[in-house]
Amino acid sequence: MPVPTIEVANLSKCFFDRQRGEIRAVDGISFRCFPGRVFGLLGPNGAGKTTTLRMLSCALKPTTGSITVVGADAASEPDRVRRSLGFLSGATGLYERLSAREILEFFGRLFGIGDTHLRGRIDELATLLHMGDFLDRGCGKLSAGQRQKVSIARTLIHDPPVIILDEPTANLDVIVAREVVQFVEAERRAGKTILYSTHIMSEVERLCDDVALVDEGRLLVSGPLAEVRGSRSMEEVFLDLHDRARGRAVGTA
Amino acid sequence: MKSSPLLTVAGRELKDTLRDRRTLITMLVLPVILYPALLLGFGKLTASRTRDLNRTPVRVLVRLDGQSFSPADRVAGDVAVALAALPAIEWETRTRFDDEPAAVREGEVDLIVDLPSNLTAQLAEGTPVKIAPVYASARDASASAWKRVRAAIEGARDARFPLELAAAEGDVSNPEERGGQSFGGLLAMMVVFMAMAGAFYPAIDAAAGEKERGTLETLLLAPVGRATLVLGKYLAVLVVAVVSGLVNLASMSLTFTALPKSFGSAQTLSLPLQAVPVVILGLVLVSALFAAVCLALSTFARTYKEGQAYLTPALLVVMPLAMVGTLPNLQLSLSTALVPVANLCLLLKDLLSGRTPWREALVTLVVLASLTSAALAFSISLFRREDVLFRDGRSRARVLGSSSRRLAAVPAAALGLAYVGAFAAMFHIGSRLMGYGFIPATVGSLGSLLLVAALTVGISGTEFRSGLSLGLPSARAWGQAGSLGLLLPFVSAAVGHWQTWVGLESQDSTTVAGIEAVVRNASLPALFFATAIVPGLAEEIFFRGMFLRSLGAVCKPIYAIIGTAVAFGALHCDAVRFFPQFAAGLALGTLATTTRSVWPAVLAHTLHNALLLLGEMKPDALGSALLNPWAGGAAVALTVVLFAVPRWRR
Repeated sequence: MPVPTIEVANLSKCFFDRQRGEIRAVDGISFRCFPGRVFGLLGPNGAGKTTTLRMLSCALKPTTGSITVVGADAASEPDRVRRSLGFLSGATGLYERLSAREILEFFGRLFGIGDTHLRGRIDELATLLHMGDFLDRGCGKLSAGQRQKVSIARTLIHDPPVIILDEPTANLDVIVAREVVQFVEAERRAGKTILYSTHIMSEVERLCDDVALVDEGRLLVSGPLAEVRGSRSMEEVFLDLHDRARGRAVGTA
Repeated sequence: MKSSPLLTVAGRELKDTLRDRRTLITMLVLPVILYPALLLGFGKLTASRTRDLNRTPVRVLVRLDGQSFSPADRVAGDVAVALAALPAIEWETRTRFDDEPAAVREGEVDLIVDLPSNLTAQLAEGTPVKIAPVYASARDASASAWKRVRAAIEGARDARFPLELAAAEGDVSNPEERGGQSFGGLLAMMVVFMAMAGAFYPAIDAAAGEKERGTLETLLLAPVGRATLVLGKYLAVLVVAVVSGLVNLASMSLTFTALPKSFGSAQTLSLPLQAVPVVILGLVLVSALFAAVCLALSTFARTYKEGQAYLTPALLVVMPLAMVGTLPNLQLSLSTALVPVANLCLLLKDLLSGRTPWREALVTLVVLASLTSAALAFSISLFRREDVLFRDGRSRARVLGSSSRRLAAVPAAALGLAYVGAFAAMFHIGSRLMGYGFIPATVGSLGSLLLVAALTVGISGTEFRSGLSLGLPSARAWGQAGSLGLLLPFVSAAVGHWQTWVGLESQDSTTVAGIEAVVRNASLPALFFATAIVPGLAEEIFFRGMFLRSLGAVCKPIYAIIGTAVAFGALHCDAVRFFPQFAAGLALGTLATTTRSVWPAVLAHTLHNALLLLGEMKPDALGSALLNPWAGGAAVALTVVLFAVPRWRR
């Protein structure tokens, strides 16, 4: 049995809203991710995926439960967790007044990479992601696809063993989306742990080795893709579980 | 009926705008509050400083044929009589100083004037007389001494005969000192504004802007502590503020150096070389403070625009403080050194006039440094708060309630508007009714409070009884209210008296004179109605009814009580009345909170005002008792016991 690189146990997060009172965005979720595999975190909008991922990135503190990333505990060693993680989501924007290269240099330095090594790493990523054309252009002037590539390069600048991608193909055209998917496959081959959150089921079927389905903050099912899916399509499984979860909620109310 | 697309579009825009807190602040709150507050606050302060200046004791040497003048001397002549009648003058008995200009400049004596003993006779004969005083225009006391003595001489002479008062010749202040005095305050004000303007936009950009552009979450992924992030941002804001201030100053001094010469002025505005470090020090200190404050406010905001909305009022708070340096006769003292920004302006003015008040400068530095650190610590704590960092745009200020459900308390945003409305209504209605007499003005302005409270509750869709805490209390609450009503006048009178310790005027000296005339002329029932019943009812229903209830719905009771007391104290925009009202507000707020009703507070407030009114009418018996410090101390202690006992028994 390989050692998990991400271990999430009984994770919960509550927010307080003056009008709605206490909101349980994530409710007792547990899962594990392994190196060389893509773990798909699936769920409809508002299911608690982004909150879960924000807790993984140490931006939010869990109300209960624990997160361990490459042996480091998120509560006691957040900086070690951050060093092991590359995190990309729709909310991680780019500095528009800086060029792609300047952004990569900035984050590289924050991660403590020396200047010589950093220059090499930026060139390497520029080649990998075909960024040569726009590396020195201001990010405010880049297309959505180019920006996403800069964001991916930013995610990988410190060569993290764990990569978390929250809907990385949202708002991209099919050509760039295909490049992103190919890049994920390459990183898996390189032995990285990838946590991939999406609600595009075709991507799930193509990329994921393991999946977990969350809805209304709760984990509905988790396991290897083949086991969860059986003979049905992932979309059918997803809709079926979602309907059953809602039905149960109505029935018990 | 089909609705017009034009009106539909306009309607949606208006709804959107009115749901936006920042529009409400800039569109309604600022203009409504700004002008009355400036007039009340600044006008009063200037008047009181000018009044104080004329009462400041000054040391004057008047020589009559070489002999020092004293009012005890039986010197004949109108001039001598007029001089002897001047108040707050200490007549110097020495007849000579080794270096007279230096003695005047350094404040050993404020004014030296030589008069011929037969001045009255000379004036009567029509002989031209020239009088050259020795005074220092850069020192307020010296300038005031000359102004007073000059008025006495001019008042006593016969206007038909020539008297030349050669004031300019006798001014021993050098051009730098004069420039420092008249322009020092102005320059200090400019330094403050430049620092504020310099810190304003970079601070908004660094925190609120970063949130809005979505780069904050990216930044939080880096393995860097939150304190480091805040300090890094702070350093950048500080650098921009200082550099922009320096560029401004350099351009300003280069432009204005040429100016006085071309206008033939006796004052110089050029910064002498030795003053440059002083100004830079001031700029750095004030930039350090503003960078921290702006960053804290900006961190709190969700968007760039919201950041601007939070920072603009801060700018308006700073403005009057920065103008303090230009007020007459306000010197840096140990008490003024406690007021941030104002202390720096006064210190810069002193330093530019060549004075170095070490003790006060140290206090100023400590005050500024502590505020700066507090603001930075606040920013860092905000950067650790998830609800601040990940605030989304969904929670909007709720001003208008929903039609489907009546609210239990007035929403906080509506409360803010109500306060502004009450302030404006009281100011405008009160000042317009003043012409009809004291009683109509008081009843009118306080009555408007009730009206504003009722309108706020109605418009916001709040339930009337609960929104204004109109429920009836228990029987015991009335007893507590009665006791508090009897204790409270002693408490507020004592606080009004104790505030002299922090350099404020005592309240009794300012109110008694104003109300005396009214008390003599009005009938007792009318007075009782206007000064006890109406304020008790209106102020309590507004503050302890609506305000306290609304704050209590969003924060802990203790903060609601304090917040309400601050708002209550600040309503009249009068520093002298703040602390007594604040103290009374704390007690009344506690009463309303523990009894869960506004009525006990109404009773206590009415009793309090009625007793103060009786004190005015019977100054010998009750009035003096109210001002007795022992009675005040005992009342404060008993008030604490009054609230502590039921708590302890429970």
